[in-house]
Amino acid sequence: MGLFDDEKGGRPSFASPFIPAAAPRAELSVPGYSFKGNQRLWSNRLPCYIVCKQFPPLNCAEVLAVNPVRLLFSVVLLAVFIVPAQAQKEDWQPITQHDLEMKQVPGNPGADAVQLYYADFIDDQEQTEFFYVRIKVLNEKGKSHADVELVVPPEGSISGLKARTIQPDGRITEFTGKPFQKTVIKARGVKVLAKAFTMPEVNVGSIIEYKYKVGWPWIITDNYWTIQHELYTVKESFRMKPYSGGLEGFESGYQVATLYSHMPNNIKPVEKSGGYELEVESMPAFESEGYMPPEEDLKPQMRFFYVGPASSTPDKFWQEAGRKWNDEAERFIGNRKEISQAAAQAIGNETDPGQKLRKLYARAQQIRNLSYERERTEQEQKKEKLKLNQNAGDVLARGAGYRDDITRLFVALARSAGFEASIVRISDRKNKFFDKGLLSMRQLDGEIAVVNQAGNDIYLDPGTKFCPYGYLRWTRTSTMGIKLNKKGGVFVTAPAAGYDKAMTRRSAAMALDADGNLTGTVTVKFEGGDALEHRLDELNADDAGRKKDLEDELQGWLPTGAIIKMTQGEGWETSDGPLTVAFSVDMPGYASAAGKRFLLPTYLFQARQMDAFKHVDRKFPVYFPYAFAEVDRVDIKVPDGYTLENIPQAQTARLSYAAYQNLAQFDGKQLITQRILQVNGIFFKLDLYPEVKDFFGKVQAGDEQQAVLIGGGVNAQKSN
Amino acid sequence: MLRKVISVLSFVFLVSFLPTAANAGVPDWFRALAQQPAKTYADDANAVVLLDDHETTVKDSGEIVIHERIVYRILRPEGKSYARYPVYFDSETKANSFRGWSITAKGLEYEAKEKDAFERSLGGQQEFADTKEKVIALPGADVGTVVGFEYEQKRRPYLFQDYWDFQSVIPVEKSRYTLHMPSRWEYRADWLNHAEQKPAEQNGALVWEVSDVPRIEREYHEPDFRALVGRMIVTLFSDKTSHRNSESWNDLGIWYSRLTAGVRDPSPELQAKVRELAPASLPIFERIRALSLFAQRDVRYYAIEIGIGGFRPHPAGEIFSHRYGDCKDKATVLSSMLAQIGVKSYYMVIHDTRGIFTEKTPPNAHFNHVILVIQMPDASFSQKLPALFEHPKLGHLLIFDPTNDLVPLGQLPPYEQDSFGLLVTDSGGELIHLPVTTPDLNQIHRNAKLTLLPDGTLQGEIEEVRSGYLAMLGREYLQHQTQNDRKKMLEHFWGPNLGGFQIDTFNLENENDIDKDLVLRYKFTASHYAKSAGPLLLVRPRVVGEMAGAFDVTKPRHYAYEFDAPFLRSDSVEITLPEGYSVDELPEPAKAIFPFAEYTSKAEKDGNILKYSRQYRMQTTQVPVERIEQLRKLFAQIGTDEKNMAVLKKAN
Repeated sequence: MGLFDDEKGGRPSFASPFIPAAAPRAELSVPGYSFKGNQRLWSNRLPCYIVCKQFPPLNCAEVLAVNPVRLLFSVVLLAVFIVPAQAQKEDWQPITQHDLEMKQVPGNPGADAVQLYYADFIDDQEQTEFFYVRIKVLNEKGKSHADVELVVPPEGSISGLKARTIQPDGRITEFTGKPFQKTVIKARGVKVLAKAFTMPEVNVGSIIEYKYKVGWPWIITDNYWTIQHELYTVKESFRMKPYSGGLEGFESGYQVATLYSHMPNNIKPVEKSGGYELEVESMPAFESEGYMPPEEDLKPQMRFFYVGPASSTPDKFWQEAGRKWNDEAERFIGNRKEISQAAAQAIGNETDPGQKLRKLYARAQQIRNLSYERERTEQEQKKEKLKLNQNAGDVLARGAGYRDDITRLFVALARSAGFEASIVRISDRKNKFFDKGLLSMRQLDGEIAVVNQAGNDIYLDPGTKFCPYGYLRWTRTSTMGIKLNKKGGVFVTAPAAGYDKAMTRRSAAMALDADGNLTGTVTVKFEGGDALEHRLDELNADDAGRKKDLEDELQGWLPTGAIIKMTQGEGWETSDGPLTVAFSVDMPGYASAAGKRFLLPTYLFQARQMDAFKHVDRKFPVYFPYAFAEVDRVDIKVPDGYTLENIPQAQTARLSYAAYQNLAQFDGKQLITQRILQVNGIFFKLDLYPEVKDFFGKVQAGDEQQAVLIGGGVNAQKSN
Repeated sequence: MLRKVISVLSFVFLVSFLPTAANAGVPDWFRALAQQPAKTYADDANAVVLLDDHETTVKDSGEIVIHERIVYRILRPEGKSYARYPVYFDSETKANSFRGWSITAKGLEYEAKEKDAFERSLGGQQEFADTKEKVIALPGADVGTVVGFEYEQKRRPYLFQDYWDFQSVIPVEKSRYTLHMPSRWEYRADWLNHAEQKPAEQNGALVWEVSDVPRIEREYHEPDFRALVGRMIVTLFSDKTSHRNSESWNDLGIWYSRLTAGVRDPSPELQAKVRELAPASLPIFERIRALSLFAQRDVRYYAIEIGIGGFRPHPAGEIFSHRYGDCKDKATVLSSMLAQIGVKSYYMVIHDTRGIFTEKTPPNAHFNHVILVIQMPDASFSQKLPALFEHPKLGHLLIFDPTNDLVPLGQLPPYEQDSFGLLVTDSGGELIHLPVTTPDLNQIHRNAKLTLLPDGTLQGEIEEVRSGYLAMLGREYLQHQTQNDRKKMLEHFWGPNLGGFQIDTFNLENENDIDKDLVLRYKFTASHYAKSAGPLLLVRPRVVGEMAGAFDVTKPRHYAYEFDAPFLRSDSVEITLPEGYSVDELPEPAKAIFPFAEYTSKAEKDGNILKYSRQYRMQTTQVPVERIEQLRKLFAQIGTDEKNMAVLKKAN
């Protein structure tokens, strides 16, 4: 039954799973292929990236483009003159006194290791990529860098692997062993292997270095250099030599374009000998922070794309992409009788246009949304009679479809009812902001609908399960898309969502007993975007799972030791209305005793954002997924015989984009605290951090206020 | 010719690991199980084992063939992972005839065959092993689906034992173990965590069966799962000597002693290093310490386990030359080095989790770790060492774990204390109880000198001194972090308790000198620490540190409560009050005394200084379930004391 993980149902062994303090390095994971920073072996991005110099891209990216004719000549020259030089660059680098003497990372004492040198030479002519890594071990943890695992790409190879250890006195120990071969995955014709080895004689102060070449039987059309690593890097060298022969799919010719952004000190790659070169020095390690924008929008990057002439400018690219999407969507939407009948049936006798639209939206959302179910095998699809929909009529007839099918069905229904409705191909800002200059069709990976009603564009997201009418899921708000039309479409920005679109209302009805224990009920209403996120998070959970998750969430807001039981949950299976959850809560020893007094925190909950804004220093802007508000009321009935000696003063804090108020009152029997927190924005530049930090500091101070009760015979602390 | 252009991602997408599932050929036995009425289980039971049918056939050659059928019903979304089943294999173990089936709640049937399985190597980042697994992931993995697997495994074991694990984290409706043996073979069945049952004889085979076995539940700080589960260990004997290696602890000791013969032979380079590190001019204990430190720090952990390499260390000379190895390699190189200075040492084979081996555990080799037992020469040490014990024949034996580089010679990591290990001597082996430290050897003492400002801001310095295993944990947490990260970690750790908490300066003393206490000093400012209430200022004298353990009072407790090791934690806090304020009221002192622990605290006024002190002494590694109510009370009293406030009043 595989009970004993470390025995794995087979041969036991005596190898301690206790690994001394050294933390494991980023791990290879399967499936999904993620790689250690130093050892990226092939691109996991889709093709069709292109950026051309005629159209400066957004987000500070800069562009170079290569003339294909010049490129061809360059490659010829390269073959004659450059290759020996390139080969020389692949030799072991000289070991400098600086290398031997370096003991700390500048500005980051205590770092476990420093990367003294890193090289990545892409040679598409040879169809190889050469890597060179030189790392100095600075403490015990840094020794883990001596364990290396290189994934061999499918159908590819790793050759010329050489590794060695250099001691602080300059003595060199070559790695003479043979790398071990690990099976990453082997399944039905696919076999991915890894070469694993560990370096000899590695100690604190040792320099380890290894180099190898990855070869492919194909050209990678979307390659990139990794410029920022998990270690501070003293010096980096990058080369890219493009391919010059004929390429399948590019019969009309091609060119190599590049995109670079977020480069340190505004350094630029140099166009040289038909390819590109880049030298970087003193690149710090990337360190993430809480509430920061997506990593991809912060790290320096340099990408290369093979593109055809049809994609010579971003406008052309997006126009062409829009046309393709529009053709496909219009073919799907069509103009079908059964759609008109369904629309008429959904609308019934309703005459108000707004209400009509709501009814059509509700009808579309009745469709079983397969995007939110687990992926099925071909065999399962066949047995469950799940077929790919070819048009809106299919969606209606089968009662099931993926998110875009449902959006298109809604547009079809709306049009048949006389509304002007369109598809918007939209980006998702969860992992990356849209960059018009980065011409990947994958950037616009979803569809929403826009309906013009009485001159106003209403953006709707029927394809997102449980998305309320009039809302977009936060990942699709404040982001760009293309409103499709026959010519391709026009760029639009999906509307932002204010704090009133994601509200959490909490109310607590509690009673304090004479021992300082607090008991009662807490009711939480999630509204709008907050309700949607909770519904989606719990989509695949059962009642027990939802109960546990929500109890855990409330536990995170309450002081340690609270005993929580969810007693009710309503509104899980609907798009409209709040998600309401009720709990019974017991907080032993909530009020602390001090002689004849009870000291009573007036507000139960803790602000969620506090931990991220504790530190004085910050590197990146503050980024909330969505604007939000918390509206709370806490009623605490005090024990008989007690009265309030002191009640906390009202607290307020206000910024142009955030507001906070905490007001406590005592009616003779109950202490009533009302609190509002509103954050009406998502992105705050780094120079605003001090005021953001100060604001949340005030929130915490206000939330932690205490009332002083006096009377009775307080004696909460008893010995056993 | 045009060259092929390809995006690698398309390759990734090509890899779909779910089987294509040919037409389902669901066997009748499986369908019958799927159709039996579903029983009711706790709402957080993820799945249930409907049948685990384990059949072991021993061949006269010593080969063991396992045939297993296992069937689950998925009860919750979290139970979908049971539709994925791995079968282990390596150079000595073959996995054949691997198949699986599923029947959904709607009656849809699927089959997966061996060709649908995927393979992968096992092992983590710091190891290489030739061990692999085949995995079948069945379609139809939804709540209500019944999934089943069947496979055959051929083993050529080094040790002649078989294991029947009939209890799990999910309920088991029926589990059966069948043993077929050749006529000249015998067996012994030992039961763990379950009443012994006698087998039935069926067609020449022995059959054991258990039904409705409850699941092992998760609780805060419960003993390790593997120390709680019911299982049966079957030891097999034949008249061939090589097949009698598991009958007793002594047998196992002999087996391991023979297996490791010769690996400790030194190389000239190793001998030279010993002369350099441990010259005869040093006292013998210092020589031992120098060599121990070398094994801890200069031999990097990396496990290479191929075939018998899971058990047998590499030769000492090779380990020394490479300067890497796993736990048994580190023990080997140290043993070899110690021999060069005339100090004898022995392997000790243990499990790195307390409770899996106890004095009642029958002889078996489910250990996962090797450490060293050093025979200390008389008068080689002057103080009582926590890891030392007296052996009736071998004298002063010092247990040492060279794999853990944070625990000095003379001490034991907490997870090995109060555990049991097999001492492998030249003549055999015996199970030894590893010593437990006293609370005084594992301390955290915090000394805080603080000043409270009229606006409620608290500032000052805290010194934290850690010893024993608490120093080890502190080093584990902080030692290899950058200064920036340490600061963030401290702010993250203390922040929730201290309002607007910011570390101003901090330093860590003795972070690499594991023989000394770890000292952490930090100056901080915590705005809004004291709460203003009219003329009153409310201040919590405890300031930092939450000592009560996690405890779920909403459910009955099934198992004992585990602590890493005995400890003593104490705080001494002095808060200078703001001018014009005096103490109006103080919290009551706390006093909670139980057989296994005691907690006391006191707050007092000394001029314009508010003093608070407390002490928490835990005497044991485990509070048994019979005393859990006392533990709950202890934690509740600690929690109350930690929240208590002093009231300061401004003079008129």
